[in-house]
Amino acid sequence: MSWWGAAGRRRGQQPPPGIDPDLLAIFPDGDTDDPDLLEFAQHLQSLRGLRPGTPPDPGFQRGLRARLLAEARQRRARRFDVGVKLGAGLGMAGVALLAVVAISIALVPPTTQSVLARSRQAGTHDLAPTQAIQLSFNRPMSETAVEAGLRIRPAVPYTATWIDPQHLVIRPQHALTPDVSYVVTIARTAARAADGAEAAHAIVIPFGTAAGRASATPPAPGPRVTAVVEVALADGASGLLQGPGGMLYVSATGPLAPTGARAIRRIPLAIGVTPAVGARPASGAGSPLGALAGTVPTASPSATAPTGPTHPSARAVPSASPSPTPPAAITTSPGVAGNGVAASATASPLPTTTPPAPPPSATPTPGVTPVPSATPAATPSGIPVLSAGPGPTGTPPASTGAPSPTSRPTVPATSRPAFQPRSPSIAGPGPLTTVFRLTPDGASSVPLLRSVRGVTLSPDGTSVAGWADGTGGSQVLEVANTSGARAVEVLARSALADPTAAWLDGGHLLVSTASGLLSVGLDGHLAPVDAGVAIGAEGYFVLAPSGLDLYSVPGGRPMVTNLTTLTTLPLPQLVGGPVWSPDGTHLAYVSAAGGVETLELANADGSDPTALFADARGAHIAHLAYSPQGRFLAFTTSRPGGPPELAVVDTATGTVTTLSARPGMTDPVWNAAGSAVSALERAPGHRAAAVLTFRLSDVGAAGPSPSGLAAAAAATLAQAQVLGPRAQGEAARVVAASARIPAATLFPGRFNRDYVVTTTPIAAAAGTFAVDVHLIRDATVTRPPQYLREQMTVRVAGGRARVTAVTASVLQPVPSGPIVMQTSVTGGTDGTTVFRLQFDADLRPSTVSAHAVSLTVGDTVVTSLQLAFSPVTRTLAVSAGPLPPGPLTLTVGAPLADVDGTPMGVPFHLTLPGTMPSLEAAPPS
Amino acid sequence: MSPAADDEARLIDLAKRDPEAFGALYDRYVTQIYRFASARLGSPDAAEDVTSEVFFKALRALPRYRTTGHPFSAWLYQIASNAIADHHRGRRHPEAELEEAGDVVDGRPPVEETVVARAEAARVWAAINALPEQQRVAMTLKYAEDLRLAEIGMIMGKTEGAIKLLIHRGTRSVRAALAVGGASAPPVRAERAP
Repeated sequence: MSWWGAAGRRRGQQPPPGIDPDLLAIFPDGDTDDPDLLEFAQHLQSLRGLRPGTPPDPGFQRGLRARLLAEARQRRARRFDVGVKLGAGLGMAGVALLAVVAISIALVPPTTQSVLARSRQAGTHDLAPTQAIQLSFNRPMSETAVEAGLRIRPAVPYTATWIDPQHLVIRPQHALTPDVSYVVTIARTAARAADGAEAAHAIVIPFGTAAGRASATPPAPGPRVTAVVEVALADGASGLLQGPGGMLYVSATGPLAPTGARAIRRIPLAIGVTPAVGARPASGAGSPLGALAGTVPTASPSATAPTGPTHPSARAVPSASPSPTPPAAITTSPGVAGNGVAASATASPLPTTTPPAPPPSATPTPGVTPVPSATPAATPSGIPVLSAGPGPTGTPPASTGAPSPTSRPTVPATSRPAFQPRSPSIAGPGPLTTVFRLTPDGASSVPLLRSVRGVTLSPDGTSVAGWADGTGGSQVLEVANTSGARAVEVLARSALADPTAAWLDGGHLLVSTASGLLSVGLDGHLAPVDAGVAIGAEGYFVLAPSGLDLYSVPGGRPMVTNLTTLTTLPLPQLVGGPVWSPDGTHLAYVSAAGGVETLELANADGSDPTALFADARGAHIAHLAYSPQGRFLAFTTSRPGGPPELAVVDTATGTVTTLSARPGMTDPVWNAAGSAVSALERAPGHRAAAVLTFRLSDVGAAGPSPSGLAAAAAATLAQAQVLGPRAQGEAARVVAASARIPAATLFPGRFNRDYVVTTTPIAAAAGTFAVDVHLIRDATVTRPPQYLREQMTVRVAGGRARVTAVTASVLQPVPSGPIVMQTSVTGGTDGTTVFRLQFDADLRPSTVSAHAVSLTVGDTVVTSLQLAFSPVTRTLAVSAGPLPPGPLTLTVGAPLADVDGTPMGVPFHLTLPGTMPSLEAAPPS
Repeated sequence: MSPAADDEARLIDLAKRDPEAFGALYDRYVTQIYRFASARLGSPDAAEDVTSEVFFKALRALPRYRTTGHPFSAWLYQIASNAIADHHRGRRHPEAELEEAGDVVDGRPPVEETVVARAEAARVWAAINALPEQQRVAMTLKYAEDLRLAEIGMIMGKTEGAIKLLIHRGTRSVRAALAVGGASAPPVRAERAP
């Protein structure tokens, strides 16, 4: 594209055809102080094709046309009959009324005898589930008639209260189900005024409830510590990493002594379950975790600690920070998040353009001195000097290829942060340490790097890097092979006192310089990376596993920047510790408001933050570590002046479990199976630190998390719609390319909510799941709620989900009777299997019977089922005793009926390839 | 008068005498008015409400409509702007509007480019959405609806010079916001592109 700018104008050239003369008038020739503004304006104009706003729904368009013409005819007739007062009625309603019930009114014939009704809740899609519905009539009503004809779909019991004969309040007996499309109707013949007037049509008030957070199932018990073993003692240990294959990497100032897997019995392992943020601390509780829960961890001499009590009620977690979300329990499954679903689960980076390596040239590249070509630059020291790089807003050197809006250099692959998360409070140069590789059983160790700090392990576990003191106050980046078979290489030199490095992939590191970020290849290549933020000399950063998000602390102000959009996530209270879930859908971090640190969980884009843990007494929270399956978070917490303790929070239920009430724990890391947490124990006053491994049970089987899959499925919904009949391979590619695009972005107004109803493993293909999704379009005055069913095959590998096949039904009315919104299946240690089905409606108790539910294992019908329905959560629990091996099929259908007696219109089937537990439990939310 | 304007004037005149002819005017403008409302309101239902209001008001006020030399659409935009402002005044929490930028999905490759362009457009429109109301309206009518300055002036009840100023300031602010927000500015110079 060529630009005709100020220079062209000054030269008296004619503008190229196509330039809007208006723009030339707005940005005139004399605007020499900002000659680029015209070009920028033209750029804005070029985006017109992608402007916001949607075309109207054809049905709406036709309907409005019909109503307009109907009124036009009436107006024509009105010239001869001024007694007809539709216009007056509309005028009375006013603009605000039109915004709510315009369609209702328009459907009412122009007669003052008609009954009209309006409701402020009509047309809303995010009504609070606890809110009452209010109806206002245009005349005093026959209360008995109205109540007799009043219905709520999905059916819920309610009370109807008349404020006066014209105003009715409908209050559901229990809170409405979050994330559901509701319709309140009053039959036309029931909408009768006291004077006998009737409505011309049934009165219809459509609305939807906001996506909720409350879990429909009781919190699962937290993980249990089955054993604690000491695997090494290290003098001055300051960091711990876990690499592929279970290898531990310990950073210590002194020697490390492997101790084998020596059982530890001196640690009190008890252990309370701490659910509540903001719960009143128990008086005299010495532990922040115990104090929070009101359950002081009880010292136990046993190495196998019982699971502590759970506190379901305390799952309601008010955030200590001014979170935009209401205090609520923890989000358990992104799949039911409705409009707000975070659709970034597949976490595959957008197509990126790796900053091209500078061409071989004798001419130094501006901004990077010197730029190596095929080999590390020949500086006096023989290594590349990371002296400068193009700033994010500066002019990149032409030879390196500047980022353009459509081909922006982003980080090319995944990374594992170094000893992350580093807290802002410990920023600054750390001690020089030796990095040891330690076998997980504590049998042996090998020193890899000596006298380094800021150690980072490559994602493939083959290399480790760290900064060593160089000459003249510089820092040199050293790299070693973790096998110990290759000599330490000096990769680059930095003038910064405390530079940061993180691996982008096995062959590149992301390195901070005074003016920006550089990609440093193991072959010595340097390339600028536009992170949209200047890290600065004092700043440091952590890279998300997806490589798409960067946590940095430039100038002491923590922020998370999305490297794809180069926008800062809305985390104003962020103080540290961001870690990303393995599937990339969520971000856990520490926020602080009013001096209280809170462990929060948000969608990867920073939306929908939820408090997981906080201590009102001001405990410091640090060292966050996600379990490989993404369900648990290990972290440390310590009161001011006190030593840290180690805990694990179940992000699905909010249950917090203390792993060690013994203080001094830092740097937790999970093993690959998610069945053990290793950490450093630094007893106060002791220089030697122990590397301890906590072996856990009840952490869910290793494997992909259905909740993660649910998010992945939600992320793909839009693409599935776009692709339609396209080939499966194409679907997978496109999903990967746009994993971060929320479904709502691509289908604004088309669907209001989505339910991931079932996620079941496919027996014939390991790591493959069948995902059944319902996309819901809220009701309007003129049509009932509609849904579209998506059935997807999702393959999970390497922590990422790919949709490999999609089929979609046509858009159709939501079936009559209660429908299943979400399911979960859990296996108990006693061999029982519990199916939980969350319905949108209240069930009629008499229909919750064995006639409505059947379970088969192969060809065998299981006869001893226990059924329980919770009207509060609208969840049906189906419990079965120990089951023989074989495929399970659960069927639920009529005569199961809602409280109004409407039976299930479509039976529900859930088929599993084998007995449970085979999935990580994902309770409905 | 251009043939198109002439045709429009005939339609308006016909609709004044025969309200049923209003359907032709409706067909001509409903999509762009709805789209304009949808972009400003985010919610499809709100956009439908506003669109309904615009055309019902236009239908009722049509007998009083006087051709001013501006297109009929400018009058509809004027009604729509007022209705949208009323709608916002009636809401405690305006809905996020521009998360849904780039709504039209044609499903045609190359999807990757579309996604990137969509993200770019979303950032731009988010920046426009963050402008003061007057600037936002002027910028939207210019850059999204592609109206003439005079038409925008008529819609907003301002002089053409005032509209120029609003757009000039708005454009500057958007560019600054994109830069401050950590975004790489759109390609203000072609030679910077690789």
